[in-house]
Amino acid sequence: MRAIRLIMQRELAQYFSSPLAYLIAGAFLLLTGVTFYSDLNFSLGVRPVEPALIPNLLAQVMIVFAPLLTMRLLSEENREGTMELLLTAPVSDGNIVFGKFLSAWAYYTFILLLTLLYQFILVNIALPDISHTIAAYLGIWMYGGAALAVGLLFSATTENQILAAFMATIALLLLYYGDSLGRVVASADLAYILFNLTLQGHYAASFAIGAVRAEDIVYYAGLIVVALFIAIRVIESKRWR
Amino acid sequence: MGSFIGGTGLLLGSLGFIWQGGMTPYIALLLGIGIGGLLLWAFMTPDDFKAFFTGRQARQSTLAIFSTLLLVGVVSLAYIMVQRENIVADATVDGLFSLSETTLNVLRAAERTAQKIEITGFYYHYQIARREIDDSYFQLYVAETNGHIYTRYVNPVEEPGFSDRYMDAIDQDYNVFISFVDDNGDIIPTTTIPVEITGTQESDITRALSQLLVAGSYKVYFEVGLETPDPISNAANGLSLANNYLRANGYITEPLNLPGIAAVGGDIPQDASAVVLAQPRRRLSEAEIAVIDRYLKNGGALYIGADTFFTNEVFMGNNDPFNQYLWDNYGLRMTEYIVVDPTSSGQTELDVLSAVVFGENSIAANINKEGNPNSATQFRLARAVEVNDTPPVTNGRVIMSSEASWGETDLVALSTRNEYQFNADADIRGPLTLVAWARDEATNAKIILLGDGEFLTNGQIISTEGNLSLLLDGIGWMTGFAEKVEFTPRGYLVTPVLFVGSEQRDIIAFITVVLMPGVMFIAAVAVYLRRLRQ
Repeated sequence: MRAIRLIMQRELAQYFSSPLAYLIAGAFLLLTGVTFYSDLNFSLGVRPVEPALIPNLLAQVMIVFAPLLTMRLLSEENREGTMELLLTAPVSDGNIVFGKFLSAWAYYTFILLLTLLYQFILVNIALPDISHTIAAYLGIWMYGGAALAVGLLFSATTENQILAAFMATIALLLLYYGDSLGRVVASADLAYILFNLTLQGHYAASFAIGAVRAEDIVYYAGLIVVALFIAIRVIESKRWR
Repeated sequence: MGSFIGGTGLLLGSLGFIWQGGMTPYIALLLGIGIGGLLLWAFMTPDDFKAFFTGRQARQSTLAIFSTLLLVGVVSLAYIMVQRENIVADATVDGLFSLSETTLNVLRAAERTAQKIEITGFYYHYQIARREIDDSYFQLYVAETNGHIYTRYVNPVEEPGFSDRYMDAIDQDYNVFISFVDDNGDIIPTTTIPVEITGTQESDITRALSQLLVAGSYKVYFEVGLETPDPISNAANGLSLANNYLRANGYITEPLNLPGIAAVGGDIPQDASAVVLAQPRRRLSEAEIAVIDRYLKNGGALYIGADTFFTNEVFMGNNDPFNQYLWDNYGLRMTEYIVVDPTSSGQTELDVLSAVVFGENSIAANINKEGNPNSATQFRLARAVEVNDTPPVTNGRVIMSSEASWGETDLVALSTRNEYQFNADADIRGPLTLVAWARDEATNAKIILLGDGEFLTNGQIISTEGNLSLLLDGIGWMTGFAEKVEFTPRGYLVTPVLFVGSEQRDIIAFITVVLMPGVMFIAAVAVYLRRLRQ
């Protein structure tokens, strides 16, 4: 656990000592801020505010945002040759992967917490459905964790950060829009299976509408575990390849 | 490539086998592809295939692959098991995913029925997300009744034969139906009730379920012997639309010949939940009034649409004994004033709209709804109703004309020259009552008296939504059908955002669009400059 914590702290320090992390956070907050303010103006006296507005936006943004956050994590170590140093250090491959993943998830959580300011504003001017909002935030937090785990997996496979981000984006696009294949195959059963394999399928029909389902939590947790497990196996393979 | 195809095919096939609990053509295809892929691998690159199972790298990679597959299998199994348990926590403040007491009562009644109930949902393959959202609600009903209510999803493309008889409704966006099923599990078509999913699924489903349970319990008779319109005629002056509308909403409708009953000294059938007297063209005889009196004293309900006819013996005219009967017993009677309304009217000032509605009961619950002008009622050549303010029973007004209206008395000028003008000496000032109700608490007799009968005809009833509402909600109030399922509006859904002043909005815009991202951008520049200095 100590090794994980140390790696996580080191990665977090790197995040917050890099201007890119702040630029990403700034762009992210600009996008969510404009969306929030537009929706607020549209809602005034007309309809209740959408409790899952910001999480719903994040569900799409994460397709690009997650690869940006994770592309550097392992591919940079591969490119600069520091991975060998890490592998010889008294830490397990699992510690390396978990530490880096947790640092990305912590950074994502930090940005997510910043957007709670919108909810604070809403509480002061309206009667928002807070518990619904909390459910949506829980959903998008797990969704983000799963997206980051997929991003980390691709970062482990290559030395090229751009390639890692590109492959992760393609994978997340497939995981987001995979259910659209159901339109092509014209089979409701197959469309249902594809829908259940997608990130969106476990968010839009549950967390986003205020229902917290155990199966969706298992899906996201499972996706995180599987993606990290494969990433560990990929790093491990460097020892015997 | 062969190894990848083989591994993936076998994995997906195995998962599908667990998921479906058996073999399907898709699963067989996947397993076939998997085996084919492995054979292809072994045939095309035998050394590689052999090394995969024997070399050091092979051992490591095999271990990695199979441990990954094992983990995927364990996660998938856990997912499938949890999914079957359908564990859901309702996080909405209004409990949108928790069944209300009203629904639970309806479900207790549903469980007592001998036949199972099927919720049939028609969703195309590209509507899976919508299906999943609706399914969240349906599963609450399934779980609460331990499967007495169950769901069935149909893709109209895959089952065109079954979907065919529902296609008209599906095209109008009615894609969910509730029906009783027989012992063979087949839907009993005559019991099918369409469900309009409006976004408040629980009330939509429960209302339909309640309709299904009480369908056939309420019988409404259309009087046909007083030169009244034909309830099955499709002509403009027929009543087929009103008749079908009631049937579609769970009522049984039958014709009733009042003169025939009176002639043999009979009575209105005991199963008559309500009798509709739409636009009678002649006065009632003493014998016919006696039949109605006996019916009302037994707790009957009369829905009377008294129209304008420029004849001497107009139904419920000034000297009509039935008019006097209603006044003496229920404090209601028709006048011979024709309502003219310059400010609340349709095409002409004689097409009177509902200017004022009263909410003492459910009769006008859906009339003059905010933001929906089409929810007003429209009467053509309506007569004013008089309401006794010191009545022998409880009574009241439902709809009135505006203050600018008046009651026209010069029927000759109106009928021959279509002229009408307020005459202070003869006419009376508005507002005038267009619809009124009475209820005898002792006998439970109910009456709705309307100053128009033409609005029930095919030519008029669909001129506004309000006309249909006045019929359905009026009959619902009389029969008690409307009182079966009442939902308290969800607090959150009807609570809009509070008004925010422009100054407050500017502050919010500054914080959300400028300050928050601005701080991050400034931090980025500061970090960049610090690193530059280092």
